[in-house]
Order: sequence, then structure tokens, then C-alpha cells
Amino acid sequence: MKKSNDAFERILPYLLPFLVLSSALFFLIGGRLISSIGSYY
Amino acid sequence: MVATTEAFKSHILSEPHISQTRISVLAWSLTLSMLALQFLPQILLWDEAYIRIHDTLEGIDYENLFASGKTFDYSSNASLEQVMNGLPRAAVKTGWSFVALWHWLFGLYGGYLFNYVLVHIIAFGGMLLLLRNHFLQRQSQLWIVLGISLCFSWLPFFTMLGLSVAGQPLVALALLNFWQNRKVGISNWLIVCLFPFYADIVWAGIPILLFGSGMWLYQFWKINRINWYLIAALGCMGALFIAANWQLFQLTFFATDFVSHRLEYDYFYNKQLNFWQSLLETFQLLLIGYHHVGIMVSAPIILAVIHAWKRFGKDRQIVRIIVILLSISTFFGFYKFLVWAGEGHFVLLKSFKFERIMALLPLLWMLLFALVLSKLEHLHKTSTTWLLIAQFVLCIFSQDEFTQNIRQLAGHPRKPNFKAFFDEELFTEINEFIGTPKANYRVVSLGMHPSVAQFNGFYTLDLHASMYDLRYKHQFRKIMAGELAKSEIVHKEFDQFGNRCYLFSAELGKDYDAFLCGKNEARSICQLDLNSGALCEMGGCYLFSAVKIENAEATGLRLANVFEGRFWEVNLYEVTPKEEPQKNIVSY
Repeated sequence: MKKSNDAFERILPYLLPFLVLSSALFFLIGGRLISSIGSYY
Repeated sequence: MVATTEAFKSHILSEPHISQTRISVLAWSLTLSMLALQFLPQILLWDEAYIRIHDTLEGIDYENLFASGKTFDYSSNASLEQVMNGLPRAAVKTGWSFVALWHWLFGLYGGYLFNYVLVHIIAFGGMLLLLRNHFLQRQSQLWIVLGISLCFSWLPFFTMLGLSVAGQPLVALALLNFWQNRKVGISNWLIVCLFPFYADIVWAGIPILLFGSGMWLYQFWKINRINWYLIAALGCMGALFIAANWQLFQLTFFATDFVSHRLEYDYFYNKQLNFWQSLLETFQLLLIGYHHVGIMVSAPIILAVIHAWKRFGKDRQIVRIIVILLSISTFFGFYKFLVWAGEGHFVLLKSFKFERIMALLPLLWMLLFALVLSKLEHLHKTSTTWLLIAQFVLCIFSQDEFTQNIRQLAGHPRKPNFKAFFDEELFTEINEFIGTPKANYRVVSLGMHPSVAQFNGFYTLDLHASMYDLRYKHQFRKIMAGELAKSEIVHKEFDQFGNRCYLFSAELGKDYDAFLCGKNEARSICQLDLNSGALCEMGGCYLFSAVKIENAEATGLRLANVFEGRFWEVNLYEVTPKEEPQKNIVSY
């Protein structure tokens, strides 16, 4: 695959898993930081 | 640039008819499997599956309606005797609703599940049709259309509100067809006419009618032409929303002897007039959405927008959606200032809560995502795919019913499942122990939602209600005035909000776990200040308590027995006021 020169394109493979994992963790620990959704998760 | 355009054109022209290829079949199969996956835990677990409690199982209006036999009785004296000593029928949800129909046909669990499946399938189909007809029409964009439709269908909709959010793409499709004067066929009219019977007037009716009117005004302003089709469609939808919810209008505007508890509702009971707080709420809405509308982490979409913006610059359609998204979120965040400034002049600002226009956000986010991905698809196929996958994974995690049911399947439940929540065997045992016909006495619950007792046929004084008589609220207040005086939190929850006409305890508080006191928690109340005389006056003979009350005797209660169920341990207290008052079951 042709390597992209776009900086954004280069950091995306690292950024997305981090984003998904941190959000997943947020839901798994109960979303307690935000009281309105804390009771659901 | 020219070379890119030429390459692009040749790619489109040389493109095979993908729907007939293996890839297309694979994409459809994978998408439909992923769509069905969200229903699997509930079908496997059946009535041992978790169903959302907040605003779903905590208020079982349809079951109460069916039990009363007054579903379509809108006469002024029609009331539901089994709740609140005769709650006016008009204060309860409309019977002219598909959600009510499914509950009537299939019962509470079956009806809920059928509705749940239908709502998510319609969300998928609606988004698919909207994108194919108005936004991404090229065959090569099918995989984006399927991916976005799948993400949208996985949002944690409040399915008791029907198609309020999930059906918006279908309505948008019809309104856009009317707007463009194209394909104005019977199907568009059907969508416009059926939607009011499958959506909530507050969460969908008002936002869509406002937005539709904005579309009409914009067209009138731009091309100076009156679009009669759009006027007729919006008028038709508005009239049918009123017809479907006529009992609500009747009670609000025409009832002379009914004063809603909402008269004492304080809009600011859980809000502060603070700029930074409002800004935080604006960003919170943008980044994770709102629970009644569907929690949606929008970070991948924002990344995609930044990505596309850098590469392709401004696109009018994309900019327009971003402006609407930001405007609605800011309006939501700062609406309290509008209420504060205009409350004295415009009562509707407080009672209609126009900030609920944010119910349109999930649809707008998904449209934005689709448009941005369609920009990126040719040059950044890999990142486009990963952005779509990331959004889908986040949608799965935000689907609370799915994740709770995965926990149920894994044997590590965090919340009671449907069967354990209502526990019919446990309450049959309690009924047999009491040994008196249920209509002859009233009960209240403590540490558990009154819907549990209602589901099991008991006549309750407490209820989760969106509307009831203010006089009843004042009467009910006397029972727990001592507790409300002890805690500002419960005082605010009851006196300034009041939709939970529950028996509050200062020690238990008002959070969701205050009404979900399971047997394993073994919680107890040391000092309950209960006016058992006031409770008895309203006909209250028994208290179903999920917690042990240490000072029961002193507060006029006698522990009759303890019953252990799947989730609850019910302490059955008999109300024994020291001075026996004359029993007086007050009816409206």
C-alpha cells in the first residue's frame, strides 16, 4: 500500500484504537463521571 | 486536480454493478447479521433478559391502562382505580399508539421485544433509504450506506418512545421528497400519517414540526415559492399528533377540575445558571449525546470531519449540517438562560422544553458522517473503513441493553433481569399471605419501583407519572414530610420535580439505586420518619419495603413477614397508626 504523507492519515491507526478503548473503558467502568448516564452502564 | 477528476470518472464508469457481485452479497450478509446480533441476547435469554429500567420498566402505563379497561375511554370521569386512588385516564399515555398495540398483543415482555426489534429494523431501513435516495446514490458507496445505517440502528433508542428518534430518517426522506416535489407518492403520505401514532409528541412531534417548518421557510425565502406539498405534509402530521394525543390536550387546556403537579415543577431544580456549566453541557451533548435520545460517542465522526476538511476544504452541505449541529447543541446548553429570561412572559418555554429539539442530533450526526466518508472514500479507503468500524464499535458499547445482557449471559449481571425485577412468584406468595382482595387495600413501596407491585396487580398509591393531580401530590407528601425535611436532595426531587410520586427516604436518597435495593445489598434504614396516619387515611395498609426499617414500630409499621425472591427481599410491613383514623380513599 502506498504510504500516505498526510500526518492525520499516519496517526489515525494509533488514534482510533486509543479512542475506542478509552470510550469502551468509560462505558465498562459505568460512565460514572456523567451522572445522567451513569445508571445505564 | 484534473487528473484526479478524470481518474475518479473512469473509476465510476468502469465500476461493475456491485449489487450483483460477491462483495455486495458479502456486505449485505455481514450487515444484516450485525443488525440481528443486537437482538440475539434478548431472544436467547427471553424473560431473563435485562430491559432498561429508567423510563421503561419503572413506569408500566400500558399494563395499568389495560388492567383498568379504560385504554380508549377519554371521558372526563374515566380513571385508573389501581393507581393513585383513581388517576385520571387522560393523564396516562394515549392508547392510539403502535407501542400500545404491541403490548396489548404480546404482553409486556413480548410487546417490548417485538417493538424493540421493529424500531431498530426501521431505523436501519429508514437510514438506508434516506442515504440512497438523497445523499449517497453511487453503487460504490453502498458499503458506506450499509455501515452508517448499521451504526444508526445500534443506537440505544428509548424504544418505549417508539420511532421518535429511530424513525426520523424515514420522516426526513418523506419531507425531503415533499421539499423537492419529487416522488410524492402514497408511501410518503403513509410515513407522514403513521408516524404520529408511533412516536412521542414531545420527543419527536415538536422537534420535527419545528425543523420541517424551518425547511419550508428556508425554501420560501430562497426561491420565493410556496411549497404546498410540504405545508400539507406538516399540517397533516401536526393534526394527527394532536388527534393521537388528544387526551393530553384535553387535560391540559380544557379540564376545569384538574391541576397538574407540573404547576409546581421548577425548571431549575437540577440546573444552575452558570455559563461554564452550560458550555460543558453543550460539549457533553456534542460528544456523547443525551440518554433519552440515544447515547452516541461522536469522536470518530469529528475525526472524519477534521480529516476531510483538511483534504477537501469546505463543502456547503457539510458546513450546513455542522452549523445546525452546533446551533442545536448550544441552544440545548444555554436554553436555561432563555427560560430564566422569558419564563414570566412565555410559559411554554418551561413546559414544552424546546431544547428537546436535540432529539434530531443522532440523525444529523449520521448524515454528516455519511457525507464526510463519501468525500474520503476514494483517496483514503483504509482510514474511511477504520473510522466506520470505530464508530460501530462505540455504538455497540453505548448500547446499554446489549452490554447488560452480555453480562447476563456471562453470568455477571449488574442489574436485575425482567423476570427477577417483577418476580411474579414472590408477589403471588405475598398476595396469598395477605389473603384479602387486592382492591380492598392500597400499598406503597420503599427501595423499589412501584411498577413492580403494579405489574403484580396490587393497587398502589405511588407511581412514576408524567402527569397527575397536584392535590394528590400534596396529600401524598404528608406521608413522608419528615423525610423530605431531612434531605434537600429528596425534597428537591419530590417538591420541585415530582414525576416520581414515590415514598422517599433521606437515607436512601434519590439516585437510581435508591429504588433498586436488591437482597444482596442488605440495606437498611435506621430512622424513617413516616406519617402512618396520613398513609392510612389514603387507604395504605401495607408497605412493600426492599430494605429493613430499624424503627418500624416507632413509626407506625409492623413487620408482618419477610419474603425472599430472585432479586428482592420484600419486608412486608403492615401500617398500624397509633391513632386509628377514619379510612378515606379519595377519588378524583
